[in-house]
Amino acid sequence: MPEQGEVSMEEFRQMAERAGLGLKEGEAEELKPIYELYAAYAAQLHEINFGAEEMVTEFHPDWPGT
Amino acid sequence: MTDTDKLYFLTMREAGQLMRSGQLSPVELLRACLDRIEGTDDRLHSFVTLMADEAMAQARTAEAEMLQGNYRGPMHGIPFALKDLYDTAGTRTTSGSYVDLERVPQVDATTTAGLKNAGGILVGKLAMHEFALGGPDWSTPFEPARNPWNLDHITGGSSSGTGSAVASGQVMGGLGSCTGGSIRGPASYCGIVGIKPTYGRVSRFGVVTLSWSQDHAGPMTWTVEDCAYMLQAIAGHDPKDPTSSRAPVPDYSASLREDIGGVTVGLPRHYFFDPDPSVNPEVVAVVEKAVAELEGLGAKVRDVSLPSLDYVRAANSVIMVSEAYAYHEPNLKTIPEKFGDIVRSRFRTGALMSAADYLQAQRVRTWARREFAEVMKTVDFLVTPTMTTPAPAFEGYDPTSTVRGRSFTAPFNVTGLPAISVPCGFTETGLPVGLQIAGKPFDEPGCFQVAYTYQQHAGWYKTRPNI
Repeated sequence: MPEQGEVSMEEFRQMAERAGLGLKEGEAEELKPIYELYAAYAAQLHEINFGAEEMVTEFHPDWPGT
Repeated sequence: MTDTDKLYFLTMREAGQLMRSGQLSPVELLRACLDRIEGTDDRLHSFVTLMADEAMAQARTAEAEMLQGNYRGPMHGIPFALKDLYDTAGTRTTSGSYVDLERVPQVDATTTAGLKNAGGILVGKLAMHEFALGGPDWSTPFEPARNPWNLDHITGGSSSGTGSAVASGQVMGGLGSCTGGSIRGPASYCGIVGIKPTYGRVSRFGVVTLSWSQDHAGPMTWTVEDCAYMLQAIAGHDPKDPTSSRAPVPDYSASLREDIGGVTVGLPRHYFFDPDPSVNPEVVAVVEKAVAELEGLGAKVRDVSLPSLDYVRAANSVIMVSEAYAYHEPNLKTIPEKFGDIVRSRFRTGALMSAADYLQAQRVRTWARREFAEVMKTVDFLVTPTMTTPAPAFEGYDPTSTVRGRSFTAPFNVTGLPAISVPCGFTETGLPVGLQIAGKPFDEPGCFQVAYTYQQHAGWYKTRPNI
């Protein structure tokens, strides 16, 4: 059984399917450990609460001639 | 280790002085390098494409120009090579992958053209980790490059062939590219100099993308002065690169002075020097000695704190695979079998990161940039070890080791600050160790000056690998 916060192999296959990866037989098993390394990094990033500040999310239209 | 009394071990500066005074011909110099390649590349595997005929034609042109008194500058007649993701018109550019094995660009990268215009002699294309990520991978088309200091060890990457070619004297300089440490890493492992300039300083046009917002192009050479000469030829605004800076390009050779009196150096000890399972204490000890030497040369050293460092590696990794997947998605869906095993898996993880993950990584990046900017108001430079370890051995090498643990190079890709690696000693087993010097935005001259002062004082450049 997966630990809390981890995804099961079946859930991982569904994630890969939704992402359109088209994995072949056995590839999900190879990919999951690598994914977990990066997922741990992503989880670490979400530990930080930046509040409501608009950091990076601004859109600056840069129309020609303006 | 061996003496340096050979043509192929000349530095660019030394060769340039000899050619300018008519004591050395570019043709003679190129022949020495081609012989060196022939005599060593069966063991080093630095080159994936050798351009001997084209190079000889360029050398003859350079010779004729010099005979007419037309000396173009420090790169004129200098043999160099390119990591195989720099576009070269008419010559294949494979990115070390079966995906691009037959790809022949029609146009030179802006950087390729810059070095040619400066009179450099393009000798060939160099080995690299596939698409600038991962590690040595025997499921990709080319044999991994080997470390000239010990052939049983890796060169680091992803600019692996550039590290081995420059350290062994096959060429006098080369270009690497860097998204998380791919210039400074192999520079440190191979005992050479490499600079990752400020983001936007050097054009990325014609350099195959790994991560648009973190990719940097830069030179790798034997000495600091050669690095300055090479950067001079490729720095500057390029309208073909939307992130290219319009900041003026200074004369980098003016910074090649032995003077760091009064310079303030910051040490973020909590991340770079304090014990950690992923950090080799011998590397830290070697770098501590170098820091003491900088202090002896007049630098003021003080500790600084950068809490965002604990999150920067995560931001670098999430942004990298997300952007890499966006770039490679069509090929990953249609010809996944053409990617090597390591890179195919890494890139695919990019499809599994959420939009929220990517945005949070970019927000961390903004936080880190603000924090670094504040600290850089109080110090002129940050000084750290370049890598957490010396070059690992091929035997038992774990490619996921580049994803685990601390990264001493990634903080400067995330923030975009310039950072140079200069050799600062060896481990007891004879593997090189690098000192990383990072500066304020566009202060490449300052990085060169500190690195040059240290280099001239320490003298590690006088020792070459014995191969």
